[in-house]
Amino acid sequence: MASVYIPTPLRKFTNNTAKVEIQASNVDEVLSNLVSQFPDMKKHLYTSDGKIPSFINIFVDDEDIRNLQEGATDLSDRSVVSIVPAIAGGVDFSKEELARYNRHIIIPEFGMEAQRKLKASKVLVIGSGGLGSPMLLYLAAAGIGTIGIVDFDVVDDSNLQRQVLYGVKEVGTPKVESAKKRLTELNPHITIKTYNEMFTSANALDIVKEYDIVADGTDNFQTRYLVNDACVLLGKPNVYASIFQFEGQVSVFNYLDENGERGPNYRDLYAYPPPPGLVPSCAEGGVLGVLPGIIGSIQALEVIKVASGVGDVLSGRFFTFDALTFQTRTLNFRKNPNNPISGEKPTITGLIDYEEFCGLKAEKQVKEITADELHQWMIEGRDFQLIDVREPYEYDIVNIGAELIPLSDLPYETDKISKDKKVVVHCKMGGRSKKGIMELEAKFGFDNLYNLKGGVIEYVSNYDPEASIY
Amino acid sequence: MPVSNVSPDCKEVRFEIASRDFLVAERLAEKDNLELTGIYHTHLIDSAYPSETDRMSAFPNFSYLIISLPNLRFSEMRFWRLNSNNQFEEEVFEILN
Repeated sequence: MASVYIPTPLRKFTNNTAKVEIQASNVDEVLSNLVSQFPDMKKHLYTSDGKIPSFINIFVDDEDIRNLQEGATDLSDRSVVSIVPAIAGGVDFSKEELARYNRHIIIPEFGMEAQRKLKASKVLVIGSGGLGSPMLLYLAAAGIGTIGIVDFDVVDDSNLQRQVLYGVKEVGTPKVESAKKRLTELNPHITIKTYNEMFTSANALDIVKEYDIVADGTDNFQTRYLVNDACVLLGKPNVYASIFQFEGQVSVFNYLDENGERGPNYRDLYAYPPPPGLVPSCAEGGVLGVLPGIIGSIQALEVIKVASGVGDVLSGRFFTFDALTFQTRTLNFRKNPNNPISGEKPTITGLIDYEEFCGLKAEKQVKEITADELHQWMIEGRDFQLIDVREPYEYDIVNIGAELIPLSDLPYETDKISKDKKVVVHCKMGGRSKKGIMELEAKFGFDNLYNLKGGVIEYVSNYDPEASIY
Repeated sequence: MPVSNVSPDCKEVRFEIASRDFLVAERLAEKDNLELTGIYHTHLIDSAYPSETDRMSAFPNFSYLIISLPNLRFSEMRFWRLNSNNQFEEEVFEILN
């Protein structure tokens, strides 16, 4: 029989009894009998693999059992076994980190609390070019605990005019690798993850979900919409910036404020992209090298404010800077109820094809036949098949004797479509039949399909003026 | 009862109370029919809020008094205790004498 002394933090489990008498001949037996008597103590006295955890010390009389025979230490009837918690704590930074971040910590409005939040935050920087360079340098220097960098590009000599993260030595090497090396030299206390790949609809959600904050430093519309939509879908704040020639813009999209209100996003400003070619990129239109330095630094500032909770975030506000006139403006903007991804009736519920969305995919052409040619074929009695892909009710209004296979049925009725002779496909005006032909060509290997230009409407208005038109 | 810091890490940023000191404190409390209900430590640069390191090392059913002493001058003190979700909750305290 040994007396076991229970420390205050564990007394709750022994009905507030400080001293418990346990029948046992050694320390291991004491602990197992104690746990079978008070099962709730188990998680405090044993690790998952059945050892005594490092934060618990066991004393027999006045000696630590580590200096005796550990668990096999024999006990006499008069032995007192004491369970002693290891009481410890401290700040969340090493001495080196405290010294490094001293100029932050001594700002009263910032302090240790904000610095701790920076260390705990995970920021994804998309694009490590003109904007990414200053932003990454300042985020790493400030002590953002985890920084992810996405870029598929390699360093080019023409980048060095503004991308201050790189030097001549790095020309030809992947940007993310050079960036990681430089940033690790700057701050060894942080973690850098790299994604040497294009940011696309296929990988966006998987990458973004690992982070708390996204910073968009890309230079094209398709990626901007992709970043925006990924952030909206995953509920992440998107710190946005863009530059062109002498002008820069910054805003924070999709920001959740302290009242739980979600701020507007990029699509509240611009629901849809401009036509391709209207707004040139920096590669096409040029940019003054110092401008991304200014705008990327402001972007870093907003990331730090979002991460630390210090200051008023640029949410619902759009900052513009004109380097030539030094005119700065901060425009307010609101949520748009018709926003296709976050409005009242969202139509976008997942990532889409942003190249196509931005009009960058040249539309594939299909073979065509005019109403006149078709009429000629009919008069000549040529051997061809005529298919109408409209709906039955449309067919009832007006038809030219074609076989009716509505567009949605096409993939299931391919056996009705000849592969041996020419097939003319039509709809009302030519749009749906073109879509149907593209699908049949792509999925089923047809190469004998012709789209009737202008559809049934064009045909009947030329050759059957009496027919109903709808 | 003041005790020494036996942390094997840098003592400016980590603390650990020797088991033997804890044992002595408990015995002392028992002798006077008192209870050892918690410990205190100081934050020399930080506020009197517990750090993540404090939380990870903390025991339940035990009070942690943190005294903030920026530039070695008293600024504030707060009592903390882990709740059932293993998060610190502030405790109201009253100084009797």
